[in-house]
Amino acid sequence: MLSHGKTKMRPWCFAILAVVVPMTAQAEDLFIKASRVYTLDGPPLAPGVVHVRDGKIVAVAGELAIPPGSRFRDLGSGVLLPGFIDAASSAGLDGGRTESTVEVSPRIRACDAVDPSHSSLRRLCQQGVTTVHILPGTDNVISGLSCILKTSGDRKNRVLREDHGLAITTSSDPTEGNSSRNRPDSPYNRQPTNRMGVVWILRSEFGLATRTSTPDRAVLREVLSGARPVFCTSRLDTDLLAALRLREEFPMRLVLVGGQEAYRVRQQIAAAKVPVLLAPLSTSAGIGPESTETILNLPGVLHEAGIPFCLTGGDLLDQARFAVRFGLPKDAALEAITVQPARVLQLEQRVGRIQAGRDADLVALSGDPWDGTSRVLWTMIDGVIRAEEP
Amino acid sequence: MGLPRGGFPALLLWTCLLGLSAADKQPDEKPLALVGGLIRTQTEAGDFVGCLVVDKGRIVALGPDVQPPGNARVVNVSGCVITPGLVDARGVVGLNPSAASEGGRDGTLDILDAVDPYADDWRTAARHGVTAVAVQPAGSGNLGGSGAVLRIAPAETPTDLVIRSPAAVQACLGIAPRAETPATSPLLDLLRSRGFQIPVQPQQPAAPPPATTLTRYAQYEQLRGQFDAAKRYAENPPARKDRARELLAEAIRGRIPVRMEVHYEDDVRNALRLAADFNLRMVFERVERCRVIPEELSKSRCGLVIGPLWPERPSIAIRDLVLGSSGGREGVGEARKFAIGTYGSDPQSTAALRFHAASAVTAGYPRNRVLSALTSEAADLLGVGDKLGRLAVGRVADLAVFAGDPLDPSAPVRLAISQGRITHENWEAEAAETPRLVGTSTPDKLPNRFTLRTRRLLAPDGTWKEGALHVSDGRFVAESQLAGDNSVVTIDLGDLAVTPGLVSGHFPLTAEQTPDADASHLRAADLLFAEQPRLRSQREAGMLWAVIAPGSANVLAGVVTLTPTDGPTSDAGKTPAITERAPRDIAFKGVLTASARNRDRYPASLAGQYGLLSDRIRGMNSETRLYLPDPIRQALLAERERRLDLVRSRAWPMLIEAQTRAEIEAALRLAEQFRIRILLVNPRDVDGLGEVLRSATVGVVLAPTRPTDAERTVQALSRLASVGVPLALGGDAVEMRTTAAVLAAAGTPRAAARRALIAADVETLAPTAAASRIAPGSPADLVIWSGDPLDLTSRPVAVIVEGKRVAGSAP
Repeated sequence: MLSHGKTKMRPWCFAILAVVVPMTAQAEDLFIKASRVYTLDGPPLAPGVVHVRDGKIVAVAGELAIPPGSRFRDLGSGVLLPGFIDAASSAGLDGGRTESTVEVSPRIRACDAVDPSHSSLRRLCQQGVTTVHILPGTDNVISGLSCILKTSGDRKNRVLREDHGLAITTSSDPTEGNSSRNRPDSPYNRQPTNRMGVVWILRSEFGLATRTSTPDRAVLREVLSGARPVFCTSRLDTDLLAALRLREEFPMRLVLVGGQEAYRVRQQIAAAKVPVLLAPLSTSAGIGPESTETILNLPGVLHEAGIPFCLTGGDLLDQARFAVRFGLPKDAALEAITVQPARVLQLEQRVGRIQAGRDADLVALSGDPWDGTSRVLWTMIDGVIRAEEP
Repeated sequence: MGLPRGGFPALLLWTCLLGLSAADKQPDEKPLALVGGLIRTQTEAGDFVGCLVVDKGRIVALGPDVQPPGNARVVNVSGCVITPGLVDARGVVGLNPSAASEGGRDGTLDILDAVDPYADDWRTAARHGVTAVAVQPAGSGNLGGSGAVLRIAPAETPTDLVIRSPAAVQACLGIAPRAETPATSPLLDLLRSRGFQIPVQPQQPAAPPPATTLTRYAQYEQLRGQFDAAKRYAENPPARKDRARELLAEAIRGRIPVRMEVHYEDDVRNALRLAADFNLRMVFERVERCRVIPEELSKSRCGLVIGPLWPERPSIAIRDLVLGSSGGREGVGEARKFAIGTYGSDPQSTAALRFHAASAVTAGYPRNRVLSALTSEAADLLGVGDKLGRLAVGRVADLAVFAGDPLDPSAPVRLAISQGRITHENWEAEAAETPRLVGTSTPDKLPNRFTLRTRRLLAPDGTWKEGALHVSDGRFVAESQLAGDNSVVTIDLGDLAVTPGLVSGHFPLTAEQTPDADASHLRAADLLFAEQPRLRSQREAGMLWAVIAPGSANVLAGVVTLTPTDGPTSDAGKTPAITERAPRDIAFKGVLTASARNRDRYPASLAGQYGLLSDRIRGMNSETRLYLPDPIRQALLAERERRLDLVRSRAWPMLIEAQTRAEIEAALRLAEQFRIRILLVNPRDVDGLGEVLRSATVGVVLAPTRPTDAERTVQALSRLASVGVPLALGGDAVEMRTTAAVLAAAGTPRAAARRALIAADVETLAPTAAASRIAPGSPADLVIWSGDPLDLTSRPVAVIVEGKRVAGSAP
């Protein structure tokens, strides 16, 4: 009852203040104070204050003058981080992840099959992920265009890019279930039947794209002109090298996805300066998909080799803690879920850091991010708290 | 907006008041007085309008002249009907889903062991006025064990839910013999018994092994043997208690009934023999399955649990058995006690209890008998007559308040109290009207010129108005045109309801899966001849127009046709007397649902479906995998283009079938991207989309919806009409009326639900709406109903097409 009375009184207080003090602050100004603010732009501020207005960060500093009348939120011992970015996800995809009737489907767009209210996106938001890059599945050699969304928000504004990059693969996934003896005379017969076939189809499609023009190949041409990045799912060392070779034959902005065995070919990846979106880390992944042999300190090894990489797979804070536990420096782990994915997705000017002018995508934690008992208090997207601990 | 002067003290005062009222609002502490409702006590006191007071979970006062106590929370329920809480005589509410399907043959199961007190299935059932359910082991075993009668309410432990347990012995005769796979190998058992250490293989939790493998004769012998043993047990109780024997002994002592499921005629005879030999109180169920009902059953006084009665039709033979009349046939015997079970395998089924009851009413069961079968008779049959089924002073409060007739499934439930505790309250949803007595009839043959008068004519806004319709030569005319003609007959329909014919907004035909996902060349009208019998049967049910559509197997499914359900009425070769009746192509159908995804044919994913549709709308050429001579191929492709051009130019809307949220979003994106007119067909996941659909002026054709559908889906669909989304309903006449009733019970304004039945609001189906218009000049097509078509107990009394009565039965 008491609290009810209090909330009812607040607008009345504002009314008085508004009369006494001339309009110094707009009603939508919000100041958030935390014991630590990880700006990802230099060392964390302790304490720090973030000023948010109209969905953007206006200022961030150790101390800010708070004009009377603005909203103020004190996290106490809580800390503030930029919203996490999951750079390789299939969250929200409904009605089939790959158009698997054809092996090359560059114009298929993930955004046409996304349920924006899907529980997987809500879950991501609760885990502090604010931006998600949704890739079509890997059952096709060239499976289609990815899209970038905020994990929550109104229907229109949360879409950052409807068709971002092209998803391809140099793995055995597209060969699954195909066989040269499988209805060879049928128009439904699907290629390829082995790994070499996968790479051959990629090579022939990119080669044809330079010479012929169909709507499908127009997308590939955009890739070759550098207008569109390519996200290539490769897990085994040979597949990773195949992807790098393809990049040498055809100029493209390549991003590797998966990379379970990237530690084996780290020199080559580092030399090519190709970023890697690492598949979710797990202690049980000694032998991963396609019998890949991964190692626990994969992120640490890539970091030492100077390869830019991102952690993916939903609960990103947990992924970062995992990487730190097995050897990755803490700063690099935080960057791998914020700044790095923003850079790979070419969204640096909007997300990834707590910096004036960027989107107000913030995650409030109850305590130190590296303390396993700290939890997400709330997630803010574009200045609005979209998930809050009950 | 500024605060008035003195705002602060006022605010303080208000806060204090708020605090006071919050402190007082403890409903269980205060007596609850329901005033002004029609109370149907199901006792000798009969039905009366009066006041009912509940205090501390009991009915403390009840009567026409009772005054509510001064401290009571008084609720005016005038216009509502108060009945005892409804009882589902066989359901699975509150049971763990897998445990609910388990049966046995040694009588050791106790259904309470299957109760999951944390399940919240009870909410849906409570929302439909059901306050108790009888549960028992499944009928897959001859003798499962003990059944119970449970409250429909939240609980902490299984025993919290019990009204009576054990309440019955579950038994069954006539299960088809099945081969049994032994749970363990006899060889391994032998080796283990000789001391060999053999590790136990972890077994997959497979389906429970069939509970019986016996022939039907052996089943009876076994059951008899168990009762024999129980009788000996009852006569000389041993020191050590045997649970199964104890249960059967209770039945032999006559304290609990045996609920006997029978499958064949001789099973009934055997069961009756058991009843006679062991002096059992036998309640039969599933008698519907017997092809022939033996005379012995007709002569016995055994009670019956009937069901399911919905969506299947009730058996007429069982009706005659229950009511004890069969139009003069000999040997049917007297009326007997009966109850209705929903017999669903999932807990939501119990929510449909009133739909089963309405189905019984339309099959000819008297309304009063059906209501008592849901209340007092059910309670007596289940052995809980002292706790359920009647309203009387001193009894535990177990009741439901209906905003309309309790047997009208579209009437919202205002209040449900299960064993003294409020389980559901809703004072917002619009009330249904209480059915009025109808004593009028329509003549079988209508003259050429006549006037119909009724107190309930469906107005364009969906409400009932008093009105008169003037008909001359098959068309509606203005009153002035009949003036002065003394031969004009005036027929007064009294309270019979008159509406235009129902219009199905989406009546899918057989799906034709073509090698191409682009089947734009298909046209629903070309199937009209084959589908005519199916359509014509709809006319009897009150549907006069249908938007027939090709099936959903192809992404570009083809052309949608609006057709009268009776087809062209005039003789072949002659131009129809009334040209409006010619079937016409009005729209195109696209499919984004999974039914058009095909692994052997592009596309196999939603993104692919969107890709194909957008390519085609954008103007990309169609291709075909059909092996055709070139001229025919060209003609086919040209035909496809012609149809799509009408969509591109906005001349035709595209009906887009989309169910999930991703599919609906894709459909909306198509409309926005290509500026085409669309109509959403069969959407389900519309929670929070109402405002979006309204502002995009997208109409919606709802898929057949049932009371057993997920509560969240039903609630979201029912809100669409409230925010102003134009609605039409798909399916056949019965499915449409069921959908409308489900929505109205969930809170859709009743006028909007009635308009949806005739697709009056959906502008993209403009010709459809015009076809079902009652206005001078239009063909005189209408349906006369015994009551509101939203009420599933009402039925078409007369179907009139072009001024002539074509179907219908006397009220």
